[in-house]
Order: sequence, then structure tokens, then C-alpha cells
Amino acid sequence: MPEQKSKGEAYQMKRTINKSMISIALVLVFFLMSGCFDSIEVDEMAYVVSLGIDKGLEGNLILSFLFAVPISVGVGGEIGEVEKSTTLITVEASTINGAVSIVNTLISKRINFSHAKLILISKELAQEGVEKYINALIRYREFRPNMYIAISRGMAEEFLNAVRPVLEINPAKFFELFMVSYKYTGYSPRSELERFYMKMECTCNQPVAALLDINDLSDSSEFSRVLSGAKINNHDNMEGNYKAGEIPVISDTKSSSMGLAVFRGDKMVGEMAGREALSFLIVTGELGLVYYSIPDPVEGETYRPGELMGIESEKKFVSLRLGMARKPSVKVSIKDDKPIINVNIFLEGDILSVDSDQDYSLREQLNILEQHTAEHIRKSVYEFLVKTRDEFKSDICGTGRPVKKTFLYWDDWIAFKWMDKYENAEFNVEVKVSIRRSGVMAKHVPLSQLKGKDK
Amino acid sequence: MKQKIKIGNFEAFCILINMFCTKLILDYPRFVAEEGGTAAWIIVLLVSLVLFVIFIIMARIYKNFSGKDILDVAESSLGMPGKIITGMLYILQFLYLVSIVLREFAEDIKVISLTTTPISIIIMLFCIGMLTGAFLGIETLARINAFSVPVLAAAFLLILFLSIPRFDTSKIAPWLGPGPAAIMKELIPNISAYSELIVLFFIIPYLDGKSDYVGIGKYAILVSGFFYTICTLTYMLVYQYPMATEFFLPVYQLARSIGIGRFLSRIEAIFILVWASSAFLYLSSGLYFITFLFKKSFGLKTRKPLIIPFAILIFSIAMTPENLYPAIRIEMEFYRQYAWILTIIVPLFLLITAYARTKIERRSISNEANN
Repeated sequence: MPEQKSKGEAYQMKRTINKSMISIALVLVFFLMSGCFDSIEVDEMAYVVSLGIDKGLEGNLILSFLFAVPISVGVGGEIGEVEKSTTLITVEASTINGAVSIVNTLISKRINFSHAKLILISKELAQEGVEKYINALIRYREFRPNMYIAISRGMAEEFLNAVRPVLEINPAKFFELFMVSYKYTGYSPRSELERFYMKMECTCNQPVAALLDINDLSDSSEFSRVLSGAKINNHDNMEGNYKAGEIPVISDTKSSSMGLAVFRGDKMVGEMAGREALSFLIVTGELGLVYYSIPDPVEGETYRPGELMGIESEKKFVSLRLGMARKPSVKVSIKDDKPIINVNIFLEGDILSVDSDQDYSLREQLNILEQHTAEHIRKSVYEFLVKTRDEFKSDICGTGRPVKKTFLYWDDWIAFKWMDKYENAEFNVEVKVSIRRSGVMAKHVPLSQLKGKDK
Repeated sequence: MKQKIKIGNFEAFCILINMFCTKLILDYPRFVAEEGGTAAWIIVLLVSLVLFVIFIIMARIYKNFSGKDILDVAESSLGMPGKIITGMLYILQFLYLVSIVLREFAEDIKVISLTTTPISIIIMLFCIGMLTGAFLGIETLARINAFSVPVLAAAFLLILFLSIPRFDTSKIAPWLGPGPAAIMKELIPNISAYSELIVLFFIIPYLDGKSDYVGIGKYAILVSGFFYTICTLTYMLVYQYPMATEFFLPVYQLARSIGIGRFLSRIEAIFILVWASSAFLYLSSGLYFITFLFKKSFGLKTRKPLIIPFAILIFSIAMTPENLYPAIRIEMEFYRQYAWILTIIVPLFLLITAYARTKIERRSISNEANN
């Protein structure tokens, strides 16, 4: 009996020890899980919304950090002040991280890039090569892969200094929405950091980036100067045929995004205008729903190029909303070591406005409009592709991808040297446009038919 | 009376799936991309099929030893010294595996989440989870695996599924990468990815049916082969070779890049949850098997007093590599080249010799009886 009693006591003792151990462990866990050891509070960090990189002296960089000022953005339901929602700090340093350290000595908070939306590299720097900067950005976990990258035609610092979001108080949201406008304008490419890096490292594709600049026009009298400088050819001078900074527009928001920066490897080799960016989006199948104006197929001939004043009444356009009906088909065949690139595009659109008296609700007229639009787009896409080949020698549309698929072995593909072959490519572009809808009007009864001309 | 340990078939299946697939969320897709280039996913698929065939052969031989674990087989084959040597071999394998996985998990957590926390504190935190799991034993671990693995698998599949919009088939072209000879050369060393298959031969005595291990093994290889293939394929379809060899945490990178609309972004938070849970289960199971093997090899009565000494040993080994690179290099250049020997050759050798020895013994007994 005493032996049984002592066994029972030992068992009870063991249970008590176990319970005590578990209680101690739980208390310890509470301390460990509180995370105070190395925590950084949200208000202890300074959030960069955009980083500008310019060329400095003697191989240095000029880095411009555009910070969000949360207190000015607004607290709770209170609306802040747009003018003070950002602050810019510019510093010269050898590296991005070196600049971060310098700025950290100036401000009371620690710099954080996890909400950064835009990396802006100056054209001057991009022409020398961006690989080392892109590598630094990709490697650092705070820079998100889907943040935007763009090329500033002037200094990135000047651009960030001039940016004044008027309609959006949150600067991060402003940059985010600003850079996705390509979806409904078609005037700039999709330009994300990881996509850029992927294309830079790709053996069958070259990268592009959005082109940004400041629009500093103060009066509409300056429009003619800008328009004459922005003309691409003699028959077509319409919206979108500009590069950023050359747009005939006056606004409080000085920032403008139009056109694309073309790269070969990590070096910027040229610029393209907004309409060419649209062709890029069409060939790559990234076109959203965009407004597209073309000269009227029947009455558009009255338009006289090169003259602006006093001929407005003679300009007749048809405005469409265009989108991809299907993904474009890009097929490549190699003939005598020369790539023959066949691009097949199928777009669909709605009529938004017709300046002329033509009734495009009739089948024959609609056919004319569809064919005219298709031909117009075919021509601009063809000219765009030729320009990538002859002027830039850069396969920015990734037409090498179908060629890569015909290879079985990696070594054979590398030895094939697609990028060299692209310089001799021939293009065949076919475009089909289908007009699906005509807005809320089924047909248009022109005033001239009712009251006679000039009444 | 002490209750007998029992593990259900699904529970055993989940233990194996977690132990196989933990590598997927570490660095396996990158590792195989380095070896197979654009044909990495073909290597992974073929490895799973080859292992499936090898396992069927092993299971057929193992039929003669139903209900016995691999240490019992080693005893039948080479006697007590054989049992101890085999036990020590697998203890060393698991000591290495658990230590290196612990270090890799801790380093990865430091890079992506707890950037300013000392590595020793992170390893210690993992050790607490590992100790708790190993202390509670295989039944508890099996039950936790059974309800965690389906949830973790669903979260993992969600990450892969959300990557579909970024697929580009040209990224896995040229289709045969370095060529058929190079692919075939990589098949056998890559079986090392499934080196934890040996766990199945440890838990056979705990299973309900004597031959259930065959089904568990077959399904575990097929399901994890599916996960391995779709994960590697997804990674390669998003990041082309040679870029695919650059990211040290491929699935984390996939998760980080997912952005569907303005609301569905930064979903790597799901990944970190999947990752930490899977790591705790892997490390706990690993420590459990180390103590189990030690106890069984040396015929000890209890296992629990071994947990803390082995945990300290694992902590020390995990802290030995100076930085992340030697830890990864050792694993790539050494472990993954030769671990298949422990998974395939050693068990096959033991099974064949034990089978032969049993047959000889039976024959001699019948001869004696006849005489």
C-alpha cells in the first residue's frame, strides 16, 4: 500500500511539473510573439513613392526620392493638402543604397520602398545602359516586381519636382493610375520592373519602357510650335503622334506620359511616339479599349496636311473605340536565313463619332469604313515594325518567340542568333477590323439633307 | 498498459507529401532549372515516373517483410551490427537534412521577413516548434499533417493558379533544353529530391494494414510528382531560362509577382503562412525520426530524453555554414548528387540480402529437418 501511495504521489508530482513547464513555455511565447525585439512601427518609416535616377558627376548618380507625406495626404476621413502630399529629396551618391543612407541621416524616419510605384531613369543614363540599376532593384526585396519603370526625356529630378497630382491626393495611387493609363489610351507600353528585366534577359525579345516628360506649355499660342515639331509624316497629324513633353496641352499637372523608349539589351536606342506605342500594343496583344480617330474614308480627303489655322471645318474624322477581337497571330518562317514575319491582327470597334454626312449604318458604307480603318492600322503597324528593324534593330515585339519554339536544343537556339537575324526580317501585316456597334444612335440624319448646305 | 501507436493511411500519405514537397517551396525549381534549363520540368516529370517504377520493385521485394521497418530488415540481413550501421546512416542523413533545411528556412525568413532579427534567434524559434512536435510524437504529427497538408496544398495551388495569366509557352522552348543525354544523366541524381521516401519504411509497423505502405507510397510519389511537375512548369513558364536560375526562392518570387487588379496583390503573405507551417511540420517530423532511429538502433526504452540533445546538435550544425551560399552549395553539390543511394540502393541491398539470408536459413532448416 505505501508503495502504491508513493507511486501516486510521484505521478501527481510529474503532472504538476508538466503543467508548470507548459505554463512557463506559454508565458515565454507571449513575450517572443509580441515582436518588440526588432519591430519598426509604420510611422517610423518614410515611404518613397517614386525614385528618380539621373547621371551625376564623375560616374556618380543623382537620386531623387519623392516621399509621400501621410499627414498631408489625409488622416482618417479628413482630406489633406494636395500641394503638400509629397516632398522631394535629391542627393548625389555612387549607388542607390549609398544615397538611401545619406537621406536617412537627414530625415527622422527610415526610408522604405515597399510602396514605391515608379522608378524613373533619365534618358541620358538609359542610353549608357541600365543593367546594374535594374539588378539592384530586382535584388532588393522592398522593390516590388510590378512597380513601374519609365524613362524621363529630361532629368528625372525635374520631372519628379514638376509632378503635381491635381485630381488624386494620394501620390502612390496617382503614379499607379498614371502608369496604367495605357489600357485606355494606348499611347504608352505596359512598363513594369520585372517585365522589363525579363525582356532584358530574354534571347527573343527586347525591353521597352514608358516615356515621360514635363509639359511646360503655358499658352495655346505655343501649340503650333509643338505640333510642327511633333509631325511624323505628311498625311497624318492627329492625337497620339507626339512624344511626352511635346503634347499640345496646358494643365496644372505637368507630367505627361506618351510614347515608348526602345532598348537593345540594357541600352536605350530610341524613342517612339504615342501612335507607335499603340502599334506596339496591337502587335503584342496588350491593347485595351482605346479611342482611335482616322480621317473619314469618304470625306476625309478634304483635310490638308501641314495647315492648322482656318481649315478646321475641312477636317473630317471618324472616331472609334478599338480593342483586340483576338490575340494577334505572329508566325515566322525562315527563308534563305531571312525571317519572314507574318502578323495577323483582328480588331473590333464601336463608332463613337462621325464628322461627315456619311451614314455608316449601311452595310456597304460600313464595309468601306472597316476596310479603311484596317488599311490605316495596317500601314501604321507596318511602318512601326520597319522602324524597329531598320532604325533600332531591336525586336521589341518579341517576334522571335515563335522561332524559339521551333528549336529543340538550347545550344542550337543560342547559335542561331535571333537578334542578328531580326535585322534582315521581312514583314507581312494583315489587319481585319470589325465594327460591332454604333453607340446609342442607329443612324445619322445629316442637317444638310434637311435644310440644305450652309443653312 | 501502453497503447499501441497507430497511423492512418491518409495521415502517413500527408507526412510523406509534406516531407517531399517542402523542397518545392525552398529552392528545388531553381536547382532543377540550373541542371535542365528549359527542359527542367521534363526532368522532374521523368524522375517521378522512374521513382514510381523503382518503388514498385522495392515494394514487391518488401512484401516478404511486411510489418517490419527497414531497421528490422537490416537486422534480418546483417544482424545487430547491420541494424546499428543502417540506423546511424539514416540518423546522419536526417541530421544533415534537418539542419540544412532549418538553416535555409531561417535564412530565407531573414531575407524576406525578419530582416533585422539575428539568425540564431530565428533558428531558435524554429527549434521550439521542432522540439514541441518531436516531443508530442508521431501520432500527433501525423494528425497535424493530415489536417494541415490539404490546406497548405490548396494555398500552394492558388499561388500557381494565379500565375496562369503570365504563362508564355515560348519560355520553355527549346523543348529539350540541354538535350536527351543531359536529361537522362540528371534523372538518377534527382531522385535525391525524394530521399525522404525512406520515412515510409520507418513507419510501416505503425500502419493499420501490413501491405498499406504500397498504396501510400505509390500515391505519395504520384501526387508529389504532380506537385513537383506543375510547380516547376509554372515557374519556367513565368521566368524563362536562364533567368529562372537567379531567384533563390522561386515560389516566393511567383507569389510576389502576382497582381490581378489593384486588390489582389501582395499575396506572398499566403506563401509565408504555407511556408512556415510546412517547415515546422518537416522539422518536427525530421527530429522525431532521428530520435526514433536512435532509440530503435540501440534498443533504448524511451525516445524523449534524446530530443533536446539532438535539437542542440541540429542547432549547432545549422549554425556551422558561414552564410547562405555554402549551405546551398553543399546541398546542391553533395547531398542532391548522392542521397539517392540512401533512398534506393541501401534499402534494396538490405532487402535483397535479407531475402537471400532468410531463404538460405529456411533451406538449411528444412534440410536439417529432412536429415
